[in-house]
Amino acid sequence: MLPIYICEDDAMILAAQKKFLEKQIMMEGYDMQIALCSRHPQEIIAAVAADPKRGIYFLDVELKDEPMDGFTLGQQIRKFDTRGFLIYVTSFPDLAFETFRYHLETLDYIVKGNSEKMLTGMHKNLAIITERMCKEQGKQKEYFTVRVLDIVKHVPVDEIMFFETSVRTHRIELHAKNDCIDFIGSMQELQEQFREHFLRVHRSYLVNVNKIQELDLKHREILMDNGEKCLFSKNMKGELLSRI
Amino acid sequence: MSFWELFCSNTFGLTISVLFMLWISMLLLERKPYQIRARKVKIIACTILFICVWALIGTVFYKAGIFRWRYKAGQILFTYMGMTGAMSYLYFLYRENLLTCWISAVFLEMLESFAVHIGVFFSPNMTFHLDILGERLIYYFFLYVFTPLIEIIWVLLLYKTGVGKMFRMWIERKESKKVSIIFISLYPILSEILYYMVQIGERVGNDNAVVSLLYLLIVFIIFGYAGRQEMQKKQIRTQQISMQQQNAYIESLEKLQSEMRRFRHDYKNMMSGMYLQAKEGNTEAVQNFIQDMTSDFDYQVGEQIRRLTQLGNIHMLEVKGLLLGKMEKMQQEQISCELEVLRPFDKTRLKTTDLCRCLGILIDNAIDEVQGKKGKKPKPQIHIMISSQEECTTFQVRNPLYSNIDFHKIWQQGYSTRGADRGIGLASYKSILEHYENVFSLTTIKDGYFIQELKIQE
Repeated sequence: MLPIYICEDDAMILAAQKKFLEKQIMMEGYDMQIALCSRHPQEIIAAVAADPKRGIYFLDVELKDEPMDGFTLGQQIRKFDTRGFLIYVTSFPDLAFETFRYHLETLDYIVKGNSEKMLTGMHKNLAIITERMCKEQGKQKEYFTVRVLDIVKHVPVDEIMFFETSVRTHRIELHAKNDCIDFIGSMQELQEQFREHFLRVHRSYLVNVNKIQELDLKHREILMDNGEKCLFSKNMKGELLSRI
Repeated sequence: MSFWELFCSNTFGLTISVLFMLWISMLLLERKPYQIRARKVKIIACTILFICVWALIGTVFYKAGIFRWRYKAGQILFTYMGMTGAMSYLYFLYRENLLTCWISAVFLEMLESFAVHIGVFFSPNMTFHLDILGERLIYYFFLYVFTPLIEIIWVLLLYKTGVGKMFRMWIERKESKKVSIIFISLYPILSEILYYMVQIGERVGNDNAVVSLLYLLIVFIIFGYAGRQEMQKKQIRTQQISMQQQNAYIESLEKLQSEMRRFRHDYKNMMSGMYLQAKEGNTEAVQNFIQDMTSDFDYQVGEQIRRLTQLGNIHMLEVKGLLLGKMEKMQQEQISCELEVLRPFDKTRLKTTDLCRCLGILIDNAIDEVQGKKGKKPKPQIHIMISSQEECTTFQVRNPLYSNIDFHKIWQQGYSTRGADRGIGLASYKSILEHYENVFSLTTIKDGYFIQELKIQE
């Protein structure tokens, strides 16, 4: 059961949103329930902190007479609920949606200018959430989670080609099918973490053995599935050949 | 004195002067050696090697009697060898270009010899018999205690007068500085000639310090004059940028104003229409009208206002100028550009020039990809986000991908989806970032978009 929280400083809009959502949940039989509708962000934070679990949040961006705006509220909620669904409702279409999505991983951004459009937007989001929840239950992929300053990235392990040490100290570069990420880490720890499919073929490379396309024994080079190349050291040749 | 003793005392003296050299060169070049933490061992080993080789050469020269050659040719030769060595050493440490290293080496030599001369100036008599212990001790006192003291005073003086800045300005100058370079490079020969002339004229042996001082003053004047010129040029350049930027501002404000005027005109007409509808009690028509009007307003005027607000949040003049320039280019190429700056952006730890180069490369990359893709789906659009949070600043450039690029290849020198000479960008982007510990770069392909991020820890 997903709890729904609404924070909106206009009482009329708040009431309309609540009524609409209640109706939708009943009609479509969603596994959701309205937990709290409030005009004050502190109340929302207190409620989330008291019972932290994955929820759905419809938040207004501009909160009049309140100490925080929607962005700060989102940041606070994310502290307790990292996987929840954040949907912003605003009367200004020119607000920085990309920034919101980047830092808070928001699901959507609804413009409230027209009440009909706003409610359709909310309905659409409930459908998306339901679909996503179903998908997640289906398959459990293995992810590599890496923190780069204030954001967290999840890269599917079966997309990683290799890790490479950088010129800078304690810096690792991750090379994956769709990502290239530069982060602080240690080869030693990564090697421990990925004992199963990864092999330290060179001082600077930790390679995913399932992603090797071919070996160039003469030049001691490995060609990966995505066309990237990395090196391997002489004494790793035997183990490398036995692993692939 | 035996060869071995001489070598040891030379090594000791050189260790002191090399340490000073390190210190002064850091002040002069205004930064730490390249990747000092990662190359700790190498740097220490190289320093020791440098000291030993220099000490060895000095000892051999002394023993072989090269220093007693006529016209002090041996000494001059030794100075040049030392300066060449120092240049290579500085090159190894800082990875600056060779010219900078050479000038720094000569300058350091000048400072050192000036300090030695001052030391000698205060000492009781000119020649020491190194074989007599007492005189040797006095000699060591002046060489290893007094001279370093003077060098410390020098360093503080340099620091206070901002010579490093002047020096950098002078180095960055592109115009003819050949004469100054030759003049500076000739320092050992010219100063020997000067000593000689002073000695003949005055018949007093202790004026070497004055000569060094004279030479140093001239060099200071060269640096100062040329440096100041460069500074003025830079000022003019920033003024030009700010002028350009203000012009662009005024232009967009004028555009906004004319759009407002047109909107006001339309709106008056529409209002009178609505008045009639309302009078007849046709609420549906009134509702539709309000709908149209709000979306129309957003469409016509909203975009202009939005862009101005976002740009207004960027308080770094150079970055603003860069973005304005790039936006203009995009407009010419009919690429739509979205800019998002939620919180004011006023400073970052990256050097401004480096930041501008990096951002320029990222945006150019995006332009390269979407250029000439008008009418294709998704529409050619570049989205730029600058987000300053308390602990870090993020720059993100996002553009739609139209072809399947070989994702990893873009980092290689010379690769680009659009021909040979375009892809140098990302390679130099990477090499700029290698100088910083607190900067992270990420690239991702997601849902048909190419996303480039630059994150700076504040």
